[in-house]
Amino acid sequence: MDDNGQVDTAESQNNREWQVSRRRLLKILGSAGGIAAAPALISLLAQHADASAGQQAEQKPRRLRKWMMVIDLRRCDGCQGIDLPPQCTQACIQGHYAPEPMQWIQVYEHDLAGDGTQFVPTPCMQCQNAPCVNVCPVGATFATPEGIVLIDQEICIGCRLCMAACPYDRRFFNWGMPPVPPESLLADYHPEHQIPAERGTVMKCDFCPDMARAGKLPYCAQACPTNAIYYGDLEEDFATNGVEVVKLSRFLADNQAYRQKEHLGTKPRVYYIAGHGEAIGRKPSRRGRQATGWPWQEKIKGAQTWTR
Amino acid sequence: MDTVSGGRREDLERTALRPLVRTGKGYWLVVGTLLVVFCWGVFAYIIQLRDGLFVTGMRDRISWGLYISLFVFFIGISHAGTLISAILRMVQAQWRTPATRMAEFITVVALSVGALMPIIDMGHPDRLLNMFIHGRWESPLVWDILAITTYLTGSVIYLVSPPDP
Repeated sequence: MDDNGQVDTAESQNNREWQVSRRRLLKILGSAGGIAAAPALISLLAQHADASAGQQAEQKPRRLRKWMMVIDLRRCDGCQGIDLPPQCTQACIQGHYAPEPMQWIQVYEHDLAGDGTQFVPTPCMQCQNAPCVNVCPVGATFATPEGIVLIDQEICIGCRLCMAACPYDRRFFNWGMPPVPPESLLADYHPEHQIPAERGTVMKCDFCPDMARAGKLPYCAQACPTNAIYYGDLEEDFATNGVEVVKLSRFLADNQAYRQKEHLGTKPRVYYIAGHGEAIGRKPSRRGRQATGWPWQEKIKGAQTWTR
Repeated sequence: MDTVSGGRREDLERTALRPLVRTGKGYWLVVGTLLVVFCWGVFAYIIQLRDGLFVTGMRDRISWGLYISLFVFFIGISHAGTLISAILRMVQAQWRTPATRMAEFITVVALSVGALMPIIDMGHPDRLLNMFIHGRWESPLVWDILAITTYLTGSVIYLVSPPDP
């Protein structure tokens, strides 16, 4: 034991030198790291300040649109009446060359509290406090000054954090080479016009602000045979389904419009008016709708098709 | 000073360190098997790069799978390494030096493998640098990168700087 103790002291003396050297090394490395990181941090802060200043300057002078949508469920029968797949979904797919199985506006059939079902067309909710925008690590999904949430497929790294964050399940990933027709490759890409689809990136409803600016309704609203989809501007307080124009504040209040999952605090800009197609004579007990189809015969080389 | 002196000590040392110097058939068998598994993984990743994440079987509703599980698993393993070396240090166990070294090695290796997993899981691994060009502090993923790089740097420094028995 005695011998052992002596060994220990001799060794620990030896070790103390090592210990000091390690501590000094860490100190040196730490301060060097701090010095190296400081300019990067400062430039980052400066960048942020620049960006916010620029945005404010751009925003102030002109009146900004606040695009929004009202979906009148009293007039939606999931296209049972014409015995076709939901025309909003079909028009959106064909207008955007959306790859299978993406339905950017999808018509869900929900069970009603009593007997029967209702049909709920579900586009991207265009949240004003969007979870997807909050979590995106590279800012590939962003909110425009008009309040529309878009995705820049040229920046998206495909981490799929936004899909985990979206409480509405309205985001779609290009798992393989997207099954789109070759002519879609000719389109000029823009986040407001996500054509052509790119493998390994996320896509969703872009709310068609480019069409609205050109004076047209989005594909879904154009195609709805019962004019259940209103598209409008909260700022100017109007919306239209292509047949009638309504004063939004009045229209929403009179019909007790609601939004999906309001309790989450995402502040969606898609409003619903409760119903089950009664305004166009649908019986809630009649279930089922036609399946959505992707009409293209010819697809790009290497295209894969997956299910959601 | 030594409890065992001279030739006997050298003898003991040689016996203890023999597996490090001379490698047997079993060792090469294990290395060979693991190399085959490694090459299999590289081959599978090449296929994934060619065909996209399609081949993993993940889909929109289950958009994170084995890769992210493995990421969490390996980060956990690396924590175990740090924990072992920290506990041994706290209780001042005299025999801890070799165990601490092993634990430090486990930390670094497990962390490197773990950090690789989210990169493999990306739809566009070629845009990895976007994390630094367009990185947003609001995103948990950016903090992931910051935390893991810091942790890895610390662990590597601890591993390569002179040991502290």
